[in-house]
Amino acid sequence: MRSFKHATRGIGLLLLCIFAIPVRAELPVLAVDAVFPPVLSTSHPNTLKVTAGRFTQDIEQIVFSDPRIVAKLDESASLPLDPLTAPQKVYGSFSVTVDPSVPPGFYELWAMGRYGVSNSRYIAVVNTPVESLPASIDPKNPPEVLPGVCYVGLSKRNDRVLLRTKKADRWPRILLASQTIDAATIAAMQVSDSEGNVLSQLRSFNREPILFTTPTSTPTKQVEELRLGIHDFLYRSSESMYFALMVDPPDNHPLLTSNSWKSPFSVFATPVSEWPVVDGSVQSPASQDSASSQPISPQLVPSPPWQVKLRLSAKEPTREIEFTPSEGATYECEVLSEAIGQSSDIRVIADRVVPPPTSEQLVEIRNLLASNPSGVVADNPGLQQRVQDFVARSRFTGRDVISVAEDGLSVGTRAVRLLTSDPVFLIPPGPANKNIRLSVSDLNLQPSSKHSTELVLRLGPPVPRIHAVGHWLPDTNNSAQAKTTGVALPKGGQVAIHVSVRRAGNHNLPVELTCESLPAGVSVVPAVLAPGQNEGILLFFAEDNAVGSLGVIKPVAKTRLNPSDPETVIPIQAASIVVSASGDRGLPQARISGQWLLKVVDQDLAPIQIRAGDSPGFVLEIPQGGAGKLPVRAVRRAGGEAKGVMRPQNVPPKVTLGEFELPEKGLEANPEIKVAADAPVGEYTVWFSTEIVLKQSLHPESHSRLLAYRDRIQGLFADPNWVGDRPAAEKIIAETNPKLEALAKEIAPRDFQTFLPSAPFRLKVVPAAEPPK
Amino acid sequence: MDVDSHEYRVLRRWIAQAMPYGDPNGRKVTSIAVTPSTRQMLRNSAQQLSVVASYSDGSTEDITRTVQYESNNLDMAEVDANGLVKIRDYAGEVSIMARYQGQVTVFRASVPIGVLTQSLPIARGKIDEAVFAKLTALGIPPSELCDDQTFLRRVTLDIAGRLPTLAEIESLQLAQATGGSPDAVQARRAQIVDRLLASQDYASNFASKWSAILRNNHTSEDTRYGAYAFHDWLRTSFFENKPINTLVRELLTATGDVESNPAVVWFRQVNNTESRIEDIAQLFLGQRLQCARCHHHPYEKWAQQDYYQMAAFFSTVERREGPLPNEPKFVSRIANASANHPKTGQALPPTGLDAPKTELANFQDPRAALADWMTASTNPFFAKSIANRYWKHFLGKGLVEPEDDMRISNPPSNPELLDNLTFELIQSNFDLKHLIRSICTSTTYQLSANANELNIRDTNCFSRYYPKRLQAEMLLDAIDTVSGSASQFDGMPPGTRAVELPDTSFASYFLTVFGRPDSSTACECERTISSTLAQSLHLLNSKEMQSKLGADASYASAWSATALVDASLSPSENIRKTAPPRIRELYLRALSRPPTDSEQSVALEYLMQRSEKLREAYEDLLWSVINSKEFLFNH
Repeated sequence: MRSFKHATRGIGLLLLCIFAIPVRAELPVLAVDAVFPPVLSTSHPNTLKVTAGRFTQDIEQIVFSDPRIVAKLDESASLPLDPLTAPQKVYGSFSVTVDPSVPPGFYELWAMGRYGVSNSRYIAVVNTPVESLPASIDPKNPPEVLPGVCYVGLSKRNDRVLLRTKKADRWPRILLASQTIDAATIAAMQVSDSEGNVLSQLRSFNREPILFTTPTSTPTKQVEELRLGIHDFLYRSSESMYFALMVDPPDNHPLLTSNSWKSPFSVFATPVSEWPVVDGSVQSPASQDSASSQPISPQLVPSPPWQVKLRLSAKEPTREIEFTPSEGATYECEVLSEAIGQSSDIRVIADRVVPPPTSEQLVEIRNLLASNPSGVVADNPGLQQRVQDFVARSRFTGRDVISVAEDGLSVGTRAVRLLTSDPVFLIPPGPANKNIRLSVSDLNLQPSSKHSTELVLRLGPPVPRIHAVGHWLPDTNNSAQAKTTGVALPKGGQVAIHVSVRRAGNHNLPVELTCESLPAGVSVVPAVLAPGQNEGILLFFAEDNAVGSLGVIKPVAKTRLNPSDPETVIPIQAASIVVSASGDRGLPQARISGQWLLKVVDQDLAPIQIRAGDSPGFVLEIPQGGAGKLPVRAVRRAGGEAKGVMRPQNVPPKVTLGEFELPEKGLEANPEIKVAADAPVGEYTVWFSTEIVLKQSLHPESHSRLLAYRDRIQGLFADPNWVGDRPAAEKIIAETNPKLEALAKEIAPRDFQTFLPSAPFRLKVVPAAEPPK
Repeated sequence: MDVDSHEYRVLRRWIAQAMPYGDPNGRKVTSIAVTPSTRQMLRNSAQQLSVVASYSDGSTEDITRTVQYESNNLDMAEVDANGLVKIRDYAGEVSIMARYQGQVTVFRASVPIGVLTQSLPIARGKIDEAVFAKLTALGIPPSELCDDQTFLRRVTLDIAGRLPTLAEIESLQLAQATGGSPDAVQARRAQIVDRLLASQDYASNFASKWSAILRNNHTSEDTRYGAYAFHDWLRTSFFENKPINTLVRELLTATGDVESNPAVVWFRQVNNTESRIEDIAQLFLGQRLQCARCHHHPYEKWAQQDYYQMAAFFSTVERREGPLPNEPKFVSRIANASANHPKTGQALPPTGLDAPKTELANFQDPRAALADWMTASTNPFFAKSIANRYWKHFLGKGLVEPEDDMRISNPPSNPELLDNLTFELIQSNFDLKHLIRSICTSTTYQLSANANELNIRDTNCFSRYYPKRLQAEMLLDAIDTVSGSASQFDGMPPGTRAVELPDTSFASYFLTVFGRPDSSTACECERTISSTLAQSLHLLNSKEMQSKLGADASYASAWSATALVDASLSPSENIRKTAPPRIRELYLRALSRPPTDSEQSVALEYLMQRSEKLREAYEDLLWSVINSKEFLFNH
């Protein structure tokens, strides 16, 4: 039996090795998946560690979105027996002080190191002490959590984190937050009495923090103490599965709100025109007890423009708004719901309806219907019509529906999950004697839903506008594989931002993407999005001699909102993946970050740089029905010799540009572009995604540091005067050698299969020349 | 077909007439009626039935010899082709179905034993009144009331899906001091029911039951969240006592993705219109519509038209891209809801069974209209089907069997009782805890499982409690509890009980062999509680059982390690001193009762005989209790 077990284990290990071989790698770019603790206190110094991520070994700096929060890299005393007595840096570990003037709230941090600047991570600041929960908890004697302290802990796969807290004359409020502070945890909390009788079973939905206020189940006995069992809903465990807990948090506690977490949709909420506000808190006369197929009564509001804030709930899952349109007016109806942080699925039905009867007419109609349910009044055609119109208003069938608008496919990449947006649609002019009725509902609401959905419904003339959001291009557009990623721009290399533009209010003019502030030695290739195009890339190049530096860049989108208007400049908002995609939970999670940071990595020279066109901003002009050759140039250095597969991106309609291969060590290619005779005229931005295997070494500095230490210890033996602890020194060497071997494997040049963007070029499709007469 | 039978002659005549097509405008059968429709009969007696058909032109015709007859209990009665019913030597209820050209009617015979039931237990409400009225009519005397310990074990297993804890048993023993009057007994039993209904265990037990028949399952990592969330939605719904009509509405109209609305997982699992309509009809209406998908239902009035009109309610459900390929989003797209009749091609509007056509605009979700119709208090199927399903859960046998096949040709064994339960459910606004409380505090539920001389053959009048084998999950949990050695399920924290598992996809040979369903259909029949040789062998000598009994964490290990406490005494004397409380604890844990004197002495003697291998002796003792019928059954 024993040998069988060993054999099984051996096979298991073998299989593990086979399946553990990565099928793809990515260029080394710093990415941070977790820092701990995720909450900082203003009331005491904090120790902050980067606990999970990729290429994090050499993190030596952290910057915060508020300069009053300062991180200092920790230093240890000298290493054991090290003749070099200078303190040693403890990479990834920081002492953080938060100035007392920093208000409690959410802040961002970025880590920096050998491989660039990381993605953004949220960190909360509170003015109470922060305490870490012990790693090991005795279930029979769980630690007590007290009001006034913010506790932080990690999810444990095989066990629940057990805590207890006192109940005084009222139920304590217990706050548990995780996803709002960028954690991957799907927090679940079970609240029981001390005998284990469950009082409430709570789970985090849609990033909302959990808040226990009163038990779901009425306790049968006096409860004096509560037991809290905390775990990840899927019983996962890792450094990025963290949570923060507080008993009786004040109402304004930052962890109580999930709104600070800005989804990429939130860019749609600004800027918007200020329109008169209509009071939406007026309850419909016939509020529903549950979602059903019965009609409800609309709220009458003035003619647009206006905006109204509505709250939908299980009790009132649909609201109706009715107004009289101005003659000949076209309106744009826009809903802001996901854009303001709601997890909703809004549907708006617009129909034309005969205006409601006056109160006197209503009395007359109701009296008639009470005595004559058929409503037929042969001798009074006017009344007969009013009765028919009144009855028709309350029916679903036979409505004059203008539009049914839903959350739908929008701009963006799957990697940052810009899959849906709130409804926006146009209402064309209609007959003067009809009102417009809007029925607004949230399809996510259910009869037992405890939450409500907030939305802003805006109605007015179409106002041309654009919104832009971008993210550092991950090396995949496959949402199931997208991970957190920072940015590292090696000297002589290139990095790109993928920009998505959402046009509204009939905007259909070219948009130029560029960047207004750049670090020294970095240049950008502007891109122009033609009317109808909504995506592009901004490519940044670093000169071969660029100085390693960190810069705050300001990518912008420039356009005219109307043909005769001056140019408008809007910032391109930064989106950042903060939770990597995973097999058990799926899509990566991305949110808006406050600023763009770009770091030039000065240790390395990029192995390859690919340009499409002879110069930055290259324009290739091809007439309809014609063809042209595109010069593609590569600058290759050591490690960048492999062949590359070039896949064109954003090719306009009726234009043919196929995938092609840049041969090994090849420096140029000249693919042909064919433009059909009926291709739309315009200027388009096109680029290539280059799939190529690059060779690089990893962490040479780490290897050098350890090697130097080992050599210094070895050097002690050569010193005849040394009288130190010889066995201890030998032990250090014995322990260091395997680590050096491991690092030596890291620094050996390694293959990275990458997807590099080329520089974009402009393809100008011009009308075909007139044939000679 | 017999030569010269009526059918033979009709067919012969039709062939002789050159096989003409039927007249589409000809008269049609609108109903058939049997006379008599009910009758009390004696054992070994006979009854000739007469069946008359009514036609669309207003005419009638005696079709007694043309009708097809079928008995629902051949042990009790048989019927010949001419409608002559012969009752055998059995007492009880039997139904004879008659069907003709898509129409069905039923003759019901009750056959009393013929004994005057003199002393009935106290009737505590409409449930008992209906049961006792029938027992009186049939002359079947009910069993005695069960004792408190038996009740505690029975109701804890039925409501919470687990054995009572030692604390619960001790608490009952304390409560017994309040006296043995019927009202005192009833009061403490009602208290037990209320306590159990307020527990998370109740919610977990019923979430497990519904999760299985709603086909919740995960096959890979990327469907795990959905399966867990769906189970959590069910568990929370039961814990918060969500009315069953609300729960069903949320299921039917579920929209969005699993994150926003875990109920959409049902649409993922039941992934086509036909399966959806068949499942909801079976689960919530007690109707099996599968037959009507391809032809007229042979035992019911449902035609293909009825089937596809129901299917039209789901015709606008659209699967859209969600967070993952296996976690899609479901919405009702904007469209006119309809389903095509497979033979005529006619577009059929959404319409409930026996209900008027539903008027809907294209932007309305027809599923909301389905939920309106289905969960209305006037719906003839919904509340009845739920009441019957819950009755079966607690009493071991449905008033209609199978519980999800409620057709006119399969009438309830006690229609008045079913009506009472249905009324109770509707009156309480579909409050399931109220329904369970009504059932569990009824005298009928509290009757002993021990049969008397006259009710030993009763199988559907509820004159006694019908013992039922513990379901797979409950049995595994019970063995874990008694042995002290908990099972571990992959990916779940230690201490997770089998009944708490989010779905049925966790690998366990024990659960499979004891009949855990695999959630591939909506039928309760997927779960088997019958006994098989494989089960017996598994309990008797499987490695799993051996490892549980012999585990270091087991009670056998703990008890044997602390048995020889007094060095001044011999091993036997030590065992005589330490073993009795442990034997008692074992019996309380496993059977919720202390051992009898003889059980105590036999066990003690065995332990003393094997004092040199005391751990094995304790293992043997555990083994023998676990393999007893008293342990394996809820009684």
